[in-house]
Amino acid sequence: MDLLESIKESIIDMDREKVVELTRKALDEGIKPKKLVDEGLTPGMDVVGQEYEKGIKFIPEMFMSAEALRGAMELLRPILTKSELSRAGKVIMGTVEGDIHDIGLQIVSMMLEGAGFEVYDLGVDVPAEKFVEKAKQEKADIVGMSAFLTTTGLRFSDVIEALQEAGIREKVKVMIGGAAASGKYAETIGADGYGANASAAVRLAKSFISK
Amino acid sequence: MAKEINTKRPLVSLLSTEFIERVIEEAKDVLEKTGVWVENEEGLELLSNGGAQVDRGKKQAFIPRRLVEESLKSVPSSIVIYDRNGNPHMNWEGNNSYFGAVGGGKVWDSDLGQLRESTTAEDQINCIKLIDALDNIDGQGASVLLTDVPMEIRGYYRLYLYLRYSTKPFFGGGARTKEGFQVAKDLLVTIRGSEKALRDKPLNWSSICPVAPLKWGDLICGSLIRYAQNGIPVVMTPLPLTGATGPITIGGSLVQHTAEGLSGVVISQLANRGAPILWAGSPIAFDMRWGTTPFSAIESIMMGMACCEVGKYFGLATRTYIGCSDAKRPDSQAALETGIGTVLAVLAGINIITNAGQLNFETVLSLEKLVIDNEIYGMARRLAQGITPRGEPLAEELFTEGLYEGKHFLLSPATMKWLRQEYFYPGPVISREDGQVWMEKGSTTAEQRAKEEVKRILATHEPEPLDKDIDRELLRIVTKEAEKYGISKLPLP
Repeated sequence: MDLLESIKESIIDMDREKVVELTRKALDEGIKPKKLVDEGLTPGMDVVGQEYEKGIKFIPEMFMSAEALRGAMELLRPILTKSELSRAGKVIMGTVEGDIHDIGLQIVSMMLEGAGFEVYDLGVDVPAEKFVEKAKQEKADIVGMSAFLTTTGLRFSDVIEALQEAGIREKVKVMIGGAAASGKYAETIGADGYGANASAAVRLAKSFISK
Repeated sequence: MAKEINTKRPLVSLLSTEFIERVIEEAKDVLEKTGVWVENEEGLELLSNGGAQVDRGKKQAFIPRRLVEESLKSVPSSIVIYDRNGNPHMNWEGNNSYFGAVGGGKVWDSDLGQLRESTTAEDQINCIKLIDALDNIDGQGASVLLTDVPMEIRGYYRLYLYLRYSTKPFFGGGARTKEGFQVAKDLLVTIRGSEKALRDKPLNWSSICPVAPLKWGDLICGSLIRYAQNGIPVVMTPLPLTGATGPITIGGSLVQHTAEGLSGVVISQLANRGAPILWAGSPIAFDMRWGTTPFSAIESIMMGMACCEVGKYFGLATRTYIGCSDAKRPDSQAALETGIGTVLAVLAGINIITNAGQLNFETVLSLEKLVIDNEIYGMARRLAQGITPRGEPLAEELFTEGLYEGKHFLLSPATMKWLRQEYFYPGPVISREDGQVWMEKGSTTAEQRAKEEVKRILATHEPEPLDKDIDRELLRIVTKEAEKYGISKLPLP
């Protein structure tokens, strides 16, 4: 089997050790890092994503494949250019201030990672300033917020305002989710989108980046 | 005279005593060795003063066995909840089972055929009136988003609606913040007359969920302490998701659930020795395909039963979410999930089973489902009563003088005596008429009949009115708060 094909298969097989070994071998053979990503790693993760959507792969398996991918990226990061590195984009995730529910948040973060995003999960009860600070620091592409309690959903607009005040609202896309959120509500408060569930959130994030 | 026979309360258990004890031992080990993370200064202070080893930098507390065991001793083993008028309404102890409502957000709108997002005070009031009218639902607690009032006041505005439109006690604390809690408390004290009277006769209870694994967030820990200090019963609700935020095995997640629950018991008892606690749990068999949290997965139900067995071993009152359906409308899936779950929860002897009307992982309320669930509860309650040996002899009718072949018992005195006591008679949602009659009446489904029932009840049921002075005072408190957010007039009443 062709080396790039083997890398792809090893990603699908969730075999981190093998992915790392083959990546090292490919680099020794002079395969360009970008080609390695585009023709080995990414197609592997694409298959994993498709199989997940079909109900063949389960979330932990997708996560293991993402781990294998991470192993290869550790080798590639120092030699990839900046633009080559930001494969899918950077996302800041958190549950808004006052809310302690993080079930959905954790799932979405996990799945975004699996889809190749660099995810910074700030956890629960996150104040607006913290979202802004992290978004600035990491030059994030997306800020994702969730709220479960109806009483805390209004903190979404606090974060959006804070992003505006910090002058970075135009630089990031804002997506919201959780039981206290809705598509209509996202429009009202000027968020860029609403993810009704984890897969929808990943699709939304991908659509932001491809625009 | 034959020997008196007691009625057996039907019960099932999933765990052996050895298994329960192993879960508890391991949970205590976790608290000693791994500890819990507490992002709340007051909580850390309480734990440190109580004898836990606290690492302020890492906000981590290592809780010794001794402290856990001491704390468990001071939790009351029964809780009585009183209705708005101050009469005892539920007695959570032993294997008594009651039924309540919980959560929500959106509404299944059967006219639109959609999950409706914009839900108003009118939806909330309809739901409260309906629950007020339904005999087998013992408590309020179902909620909708209330998109017609400012976010900041939704919690206590809803609480006000519970108080105004129903005499039934309710699940929900009204607010998570210190300021919000004070408003909610003012409303409750207005009903009871004094702070002491409220403490003596609790009218509501509220859930407290640590963050899995093993963490107490700032806000929720603050709430736990405030509720404990004010004697409001707390539902200790850890919610590990198997394989995601808890260990993958049921046994492993039970250990985590127990450790998280025990850490909450310790904090609550350090804040106020003797504060009432319901041991609850919402461990969920996380769905590895959809990333969702199915409350009605059979393993979620098994875990819900098992964690209450652990609570019973501690001698605590128990509560569960078992029976919340994962269906999206009150269809066959909803009925089978709530039916199976509720029956099992009753057989587990859980004290308060809160799932009425809930769909889609506790995020959608259906009025039709409230009516259907009311029937499920009626059946489950009857099941809990067991089979009582009635009369001496049992088959009195067979010893009647002059019994002849072919005689019927429709007119016998025993039939007249036990006709109503022995049987539960469901409402019109449950079809028991002959098929021909059913066709003549329009060949309806249970969902359609439930919809008719909702209409009928809302058109005819008048909740007991609140005392005028108290009503005025409640409205004054809520309006004053609303004004802070620029609302001069509330949508209803």
